[in-house]
Amino acid sequence: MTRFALLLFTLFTLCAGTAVAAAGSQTIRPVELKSAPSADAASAATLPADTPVQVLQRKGAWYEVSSAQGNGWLRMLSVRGSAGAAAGGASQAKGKGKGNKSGGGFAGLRGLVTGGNPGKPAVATGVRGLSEEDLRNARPDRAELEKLLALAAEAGEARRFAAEAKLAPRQVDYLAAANEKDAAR
Amino acid sequence: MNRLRLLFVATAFAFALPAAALPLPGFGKLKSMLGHAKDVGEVSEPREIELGADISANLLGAAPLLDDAATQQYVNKVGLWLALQTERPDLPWRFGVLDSANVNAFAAPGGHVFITRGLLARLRSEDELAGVLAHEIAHVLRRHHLVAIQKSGKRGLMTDLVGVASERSGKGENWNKVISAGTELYARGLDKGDELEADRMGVVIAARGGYDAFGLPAVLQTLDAIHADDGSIALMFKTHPSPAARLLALDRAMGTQFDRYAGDGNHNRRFKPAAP
Repeated sequence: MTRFALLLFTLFTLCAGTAVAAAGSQTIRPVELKSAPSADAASAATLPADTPVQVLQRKGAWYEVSSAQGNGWLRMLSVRGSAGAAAGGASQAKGKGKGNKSGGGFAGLRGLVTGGNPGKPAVATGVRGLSEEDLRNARPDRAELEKLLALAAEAGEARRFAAEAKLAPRQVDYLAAANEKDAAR
Repeated sequence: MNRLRLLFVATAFAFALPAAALPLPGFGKLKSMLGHAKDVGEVSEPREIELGADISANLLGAAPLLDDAATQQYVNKVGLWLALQTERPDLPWRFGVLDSANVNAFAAPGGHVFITRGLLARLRSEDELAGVLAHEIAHVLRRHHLVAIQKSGKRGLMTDLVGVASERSGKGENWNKVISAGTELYARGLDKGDELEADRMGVVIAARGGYDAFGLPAVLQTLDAIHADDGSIALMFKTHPSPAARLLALDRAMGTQFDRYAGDGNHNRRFKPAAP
């Protein structure tokens, strides 16, 4: 069923006249497809770089995907080109930038099959206020600033809010850049 | 604090004098000596907050607050909870949702953080919201905007940032130049290194708050999939490294040691997807 859906999606994208050879996301390097969202889980397959995958869901660092070699889990940072499952992002399949990328993952598939693009945002004409020019010409709004100050939370409130959802603080050290090149990118 | 103020005043006078008349290093060198956020604050905290508030007033002049108190309060609680996990928990942290379909987020000095309605609408969980807010909080912690304003500057900017005598003085023409320089940064963007640093700190701050450390990467994946022609995200793409570059940098920095900070997602039940 999944392979058929993938084929259908590919056909739709081809009919739309785009250069996309792959649907959804693709791997950016060779990656192990795991049976569960864990590095210790068994490997179901090894996917080469540029393998097309459909993202189904995310659990922490892991995406569950469907691929030509079956379903499984892989590290989310080893794929590109998808907004993931149930995304609100753009769902049209259009090549962009270097890779053959299309947006929307599963949501994109649904959009194309029904003939619409429910996830696609309205064209941004008349978008309020935050273009480059708007920012350069901005004049202060003191009344809005006062509103901002009035909306600020207090520490006690914030702690209760966290406790309600059982958000427990953790000790984690800041990360260094992996290497100097990162800073120059 | 008073000794520090004297130091500021002395430094300000040193800068106010023409460099050629004194056996001082060039202004550029002085700037770079003082430019790093880790140095003892050249700018007092009250002044930093005042500056951030005035820059925020400009931002709000461009796009006002979303008229939805429940959403504003929710974002403030998530934001403050995160800020309480950092080295500056006592800043007067203020978070605001801007009523704009643009996809973007902003930070201003002294604890001011903004997210647009347009970006909020594309988030799928409180984890993702935490990731975005944590990135902006990092900009405040590292004083990225202050450092950038100083770097962009003229001597006048330094004099007024540092301030002379009382808090209310020094708010003349030069102060307005500082505010303009600060607002202009949103159109120009920070150094790419600052953005990558904010990403690295952001995932840590989110994890400290009990959130899924991969919330911010998940947002970056969403942004990566938005079409480049989409006008609502044009400015964000222009002023930040590409989502792909940011994801690559985070992957290298995080490795596998953050896998354990996934969180159980209970808190995501209270997240209501916003209207775009």
